Amino acid sequence: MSTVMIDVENGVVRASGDLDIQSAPMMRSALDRMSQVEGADVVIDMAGVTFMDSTGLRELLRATSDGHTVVLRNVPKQVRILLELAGVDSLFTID
Amino acid sequence: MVNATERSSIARCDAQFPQAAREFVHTTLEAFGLGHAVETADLLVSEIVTYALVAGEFEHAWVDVSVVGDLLRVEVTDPTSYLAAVVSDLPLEHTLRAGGIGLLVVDQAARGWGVEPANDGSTVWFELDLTSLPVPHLESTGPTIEPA
Repeated sequence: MSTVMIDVENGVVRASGDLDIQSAPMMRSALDRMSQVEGADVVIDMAGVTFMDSTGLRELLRATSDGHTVVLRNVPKQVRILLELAGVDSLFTID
Repeated sequence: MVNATERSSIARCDAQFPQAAREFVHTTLEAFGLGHAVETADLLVSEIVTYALVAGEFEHAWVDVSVVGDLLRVEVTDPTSYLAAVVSDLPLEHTLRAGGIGLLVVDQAARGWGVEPANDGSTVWFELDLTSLPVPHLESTGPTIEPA
Protein backbone atom coordinates (compact mmCIF):
# COMPACT_ATOMS: atom_id res chain seq x y z
CA MET A 1 0.00 0.00 0.00
CA SER A 2 1.37 3.36 -0.95
CA THR A 3 0.74 6.38 1.22
CA VAL A 4 -0.95 9.25 -0.53
CA MET A 5 0.66 12.64 -0.07
CA ILE A 6 -0.62 15.79 -1.72
CA ASP A 7 1.25 19.00 -0.90
CA VAL A 8 1.13 22.46 -2.35
CA GLU A 9 4.58 23.99 -2.42
CA ASN A 10 5.71 27.09 -4.33
CA GLY A 11 2.59 26.99 -6.50
CA VAL A 12 3.05 23.35 -7.46
CA VAL A 13 0.81 20.47 -6.36
CA ARG A 14 3.06 17.50 -5.57
CA ALA A 15 1.13 14.26 -5.59
CA SER A 16 2.38 10.84 -4.61
CA GLY A 17 0.82 7.44 -4.02
CA ASP A 18 -2.35 6.05 -5.60
CA LEU A 19 -4.84 8.64 -6.90
CA ASP A 20 -8.15 6.79 -6.73
CA ILE A 21 -11.50 6.96 -4.94
CA GLN A 22 -9.75 7.01 -1.57
CA SER A 23 -7.50 9.98 -2.30
CA ALA A 24 -9.73 11.97 -4.68
CA PRO A 25 -11.04 14.28 -1.90
CA MET A 26 -7.46 15.24 -0.96
CA MET A 27 -6.67 15.96 -4.58
CA ARG A 28 -9.81 18.03 -5.00
CA SER A 29 -8.98 20.10 -1.94
CA ALA A 30 -5.45 20.84 -3.15
CA LEU A 31 -6.59 21.70 -6.67
CA ASP A 32 -9.38 23.91 -5.38
CA ARG A 33 -6.82 25.96 -3.49
CA MET A 34 -4.69 26.30 -6.61
CA SER A 35 -7.67 27.21 -8.78
CA GLN A 36 -8.50 30.18 -6.59
CA VAL A 37 -5.54 32.09 -8.05
CA GLU A 38 -7.13 33.70 -11.08
CA GLY A 39 -5.25 33.34 -14.33
CA ALA A 40 -2.51 31.16 -12.90
CA ASP A 41 -1.60 27.77 -14.32
CA VAL A 42 -2.31 24.77 -12.13
CA VAL A 43 0.92 22.77 -12.03
CA ILE A 44 0.89 19.19 -10.80
CA ASP A 45 4.11 17.24 -10.26
CA MET A 46 3.24 13.55 -10.58
CA ALA A 47 6.72 12.11 -10.02
CA GLY A 48 5.56 10.20 -6.94
CA VAL A 49 2.26 8.96 -8.34
CA THR A 50 2.14 5.16 -8.28
CA PHE A 51 -1.33 4.78 -9.84
CA MET A 52 -4.22 6.87 -11.12
CA ASP A 53 -7.64 5.81 -12.40
CA SER A 54 -10.57 7.81 -13.80
CA THR A 55 -11.62 8.93 -10.32
CA GLY A 56 -8.30 10.72 -9.92
CA LEU A 57 -8.45 11.94 -13.51
CA ARG A 58 -11.87 13.45 -12.89
CA GLU A 59 -10.33 15.83 -10.34
CA LEU A 60 -7.69 16.92 -12.87
CA LEU A 61 -10.39 17.53 -15.49
CA ARG A 62 -12.39 19.52 -12.98
CA ALA A 63 -9.42 21.86 -12.58
CA THR A 64 -9.35 22.49 -16.35
CA SER A 65 -13.06 23.33 -16.43
CA ASP A 66 -12.44 26.62 -14.64
CA GLY A 67 -10.44 27.86 -17.59
CA HIS A 68 -7.10 27.16 -15.96
CA THR A 69 -4.25 25.63 -17.90
CA VAL A 70 -3.34 22.42 -16.07
CA VAL A 71 0.30 21.46 -16.44
CA LEU A 72 1.31 17.89 -15.65
CA ARG A 73 4.97 17.24 -14.87
CA ASN A 74 6.80 13.91 -14.57
CA VAL A 75 3.79 11.93 -15.81
CA PRO A 76 4.26 8.20 -15.11
CA LYS A 77 3.66 5.70 -17.91
CA GLN A 78 0.47 4.30 -16.37
CA VAL A 79 -1.03 7.79 -16.14
CA ARG A 80 -0.12 8.48 -19.78
CA ILE A 81 -1.93 5.28 -20.76
CA LEU A 82 -5.00 6.45 -18.84
CA LEU A 83 -4.96 9.94 -20.40
CA GLU A 84 -4.82 8.46 -23.91
CA LEU A 85 -7.44 5.75 -23.32
CA ALA A 86 -9.78 8.41 -21.95
CA GLY A 87 -8.97 10.66 -24.92
CA VAL A 88 -8.18 13.65 -22.73
CA ASP A 89 -4.41 14.00 -23.11
CA SER A 90 -4.86 17.10 -25.30
CA LEU A 91 -6.68 18.91 -22.47
CA PHE A 92 -3.49 19.09 -20.43
CA THR A 93 -0.08 20.57 -20.98
CA ILE A 94 2.35 17.68 -20.55
CA ASP A 95 5.59 19.22 -19.34
CA MET B 1 2.73 -20.06 -23.00
CA VAL B 2 1.33 -19.28 -19.56
CA ASN B 3 -1.82 -21.03 -18.39
CA ALA B 4 -2.65 -20.14 -14.81
CA THR B 5 -5.46 -18.98 -12.54
CA GLU B 6 -5.65 -17.38 -9.10
CA ARG B 7 -8.55 -16.28 -6.88
CA SER B 8 -8.68 -13.75 -4.05
CA SER B 9 -11.53 -13.19 -1.61
CA ILE B 10 -11.98 -9.54 -0.67
CA ALA B 11 -14.04 -8.79 2.41
CA ARG B 12 -13.69 -5.02 2.53
CA CYS B 13 -15.93 -3.65 -0.16
CA ASP B 14 -15.56 -0.01 0.84
CA ALA B 15 -13.32 2.71 -0.58
CA GLN B 16 -10.34 0.39 0.00
CA PHE B 17 -11.77 -2.27 -2.32
CA PRO B 18 -10.25 -0.87 -5.54
CA GLN B 19 -6.81 -0.79 -3.96
CA ALA B 20 -7.19 -4.34 -2.61
CA ALA B 21 -8.31 -5.58 -6.02
CA ARG B 22 -5.40 -3.81 -7.73
CA GLU B 23 -2.88 -5.25 -5.29
CA PHE B 24 -4.15 -8.76 -5.92
CA VAL B 25 -4.09 -8.38 -9.71
CA HIS B 26 -0.66 -6.74 -9.54
CA THR B 27 0.85 -9.45 -7.33
CA THR B 28 -0.71 -12.26 -9.35
CA LEU B 29 0.52 -10.97 -12.69
CA GLU B 30 4.03 -10.55 -11.29
CA ALA B 31 3.91 -14.15 -10.08
CA PHE B 32 2.78 -15.25 -13.54
CA GLY B 33 5.73 -13.41 -15.11
CA LEU B 34 3.39 -10.90 -16.78
CA GLY B 35 4.64 -7.68 -15.24
CA HIS B 36 4.23 -5.84 -18.56
CA ALA B 37 0.43 -6.15 -18.25
CA VAL B 38 0.21 -4.78 -14.71
CA GLU B 39 -0.39 -1.12 -15.57
CA THR B 40 -3.37 -1.76 -17.82
CA ALA B 41 -4.87 -4.62 -15.79
CA ASP B 42 -4.64 -2.63 -12.54
CA LEU B 43 -6.36 0.29 -14.23
CA LEU B 44 -9.24 -1.75 -15.62
CA VAL B 45 -9.99 -3.68 -12.42
CA SER B 46 -9.92 -0.39 -10.52
CA GLU B 47 -12.42 1.15 -12.93
CA ILE B 48 -14.87 -1.73 -12.69
CA VAL B 49 -14.78 -1.97 -8.92
CA THR B 50 -14.95 1.80 -8.42
CA TYR B 51 -17.92 2.08 -10.77
CA ALA B 52 -19.85 -0.44 -8.69
CA LEU B 53 -18.81 1.17 -5.41
CA VAL B 54 -20.01 4.61 -6.43
CA ALA B 55 -23.41 3.25 -7.36
CA GLY B 56 -24.07 1.30 -4.18
CA GLU B 57 -22.87 -1.17 -1.60
CA PHE B 58 -22.05 -4.83 -1.33
CA GLU B 59 -20.16 -6.65 1.37
CA HIS B 60 -18.01 -9.27 -0.25
CA ALA B 61 -16.48 -10.13 -3.59
CA TRP B 62 -13.96 -12.39 -5.32
CA VAL B 63 -11.39 -11.38 -7.86
CA ASP B 64 -10.17 -14.04 -10.30
CA VAL B 65 -7.22 -13.68 -12.60
CA SER B 66 -6.66 -16.27 -15.31
CA VAL B 67 -4.33 -16.47 -18.25
CA VAL B 68 -4.71 -18.76 -21.23
CA GLY B 69 -2.02 -18.21 -23.80
CA ASP B 70 -2.03 -14.53 -24.75
CA LEU B 71 -5.38 -13.80 -23.15
CA LEU B 72 -5.69 -12.34 -19.65
CA ARG B 73 -9.13 -12.50 -18.04
CA VAL B 74 -10.02 -10.72 -14.80
CA GLU B 75 -13.36 -11.39 -13.12
CA VAL B 76 -14.99 -9.65 -10.18
CA THR B 77 -17.77 -11.76 -8.68
CA ASP B 78 -20.17 -10.83 -5.92
CA PRO B 79 -22.59 -13.24 -4.27
CA THR B 80 -25.53 -10.85 -4.37
CA SER B 81 -25.41 -10.13 -8.11
CA TYR B 82 -25.18 -6.48 -7.19
CA LEU B 83 -22.14 -5.71 -9.33
CA ALA B 84 -23.70 -7.09 -12.45
CA ALA B 85 -26.95 -5.25 -11.79
CA VAL B 86 -25.13 -1.94 -11.46
CA VAL B 87 -23.12 -2.34 -14.62
CA SER B 88 -25.84 -3.82 -16.80
CA ASP B 89 -28.45 -1.30 -15.67
CA LEU B 90 -26.38 1.51 -17.12
CA PRO B 91 -25.46 0.93 -20.75
CA LEU B 92 -22.25 2.43 -22.01
CA GLU B 93 -23.98 5.25 -23.86
CA HIS B 94 -25.67 6.35 -20.64
CA THR B 95 -22.44 6.09 -18.73
CA LEU B 96 -20.60 8.27 -21.20
CA ARG B 97 -23.34 10.87 -21.25
CA ALA B 98 -23.27 10.97 -17.47
CA GLY B 99 -19.59 11.83 -17.61
CA GLY B 100 -18.32 8.44 -16.57
CA ILE B 101 -14.84 7.93 -17.92
CA GLY B 102 -14.16 4.64 -16.18
CA LEU B 103 -16.11 2.30 -18.42
CA LEU B 104 -14.96 4.19 -21.51
CA VAL B 105 -11.41 3.38 -20.46
CA VAL B 106 -12.35 -0.29 -19.98
CA ASP B 107 -14.07 -0.34 -23.36
CA GLN B 108 -11.07 1.25 -25.07
CA ALA B 109 -8.43 -1.03 -23.60
CA ALA B 110 -10.15 -4.38 -23.27
CA ARG B 111 -10.50 -7.03 -25.96
CA GLY B 112 -13.94 -7.53 -24.45
CA TRP B 113 -15.85 -6.94 -21.22
CA GLY B 114 -19.26 -7.65 -19.84
CA VAL B 115 -21.45 -9.13 -17.14
CA GLU B 116 -22.77 -12.64 -16.74
CA PRO B 117 -24.39 -14.89 -14.13
CA ALA B 118 -22.08 -17.06 -12.05
CA ASN B 119 -22.63 -20.06 -9.80
CA ASP B 120 -21.84 -17.90 -6.80
CA GLY B 121 -23.58 -14.67 -7.82
CA SER B 122 -22.71 -12.60 -10.85
CA THR B 123 -19.51 -11.64 -12.58
CA VAL B 124 -18.20 -8.51 -14.23
CA TRP B 125 -15.25 -9.40 -16.42
CA PHE B 126 -12.76 -8.01 -18.88
CA GLU B 127 -10.19 -9.60 -21.14
CA LEU B 128 -6.89 -8.16 -22.32
CA ASP B 129 -4.89 -9.31 -25.31
CA LEU B 130 -1.39 -9.57 -23.88
CA THR B 131 0.14 -9.07 -27.32
CA SER B 132 -1.47 -5.66 -27.92
CA LEU B 133 -1.52 -3.78 -24.65
CA PRO B 134 -1.98 0.02 -24.77
CA VAL B 135 1.28 1.90 -25.25
CA PRO B 136 1.30 5.64 -24.60
CA HIS B 137 2.16 7.84 -27.56
CA LEU B 138 3.09 10.80 -25.47
CA GLU B 139 6.77 11.33 -25.10
CA SER B 140 7.95 9.96 -21.79
CA THR B 141 8.97 12.61 -19.30
CA GLY B 142 8.41 10.76 -16.08
CA PRO B 143 9.33 7.55 -14.38
CA THR B 144 7.98 4.16 -15.31
CA ILE B 145 6.09 2.70 -12.40
CA GLU B 146 8.07 -0.20 -11.10
CA PRO B 147 6.30 -3.17 -9.54
CA ALA B 148 6.20 -3.00 -5.76
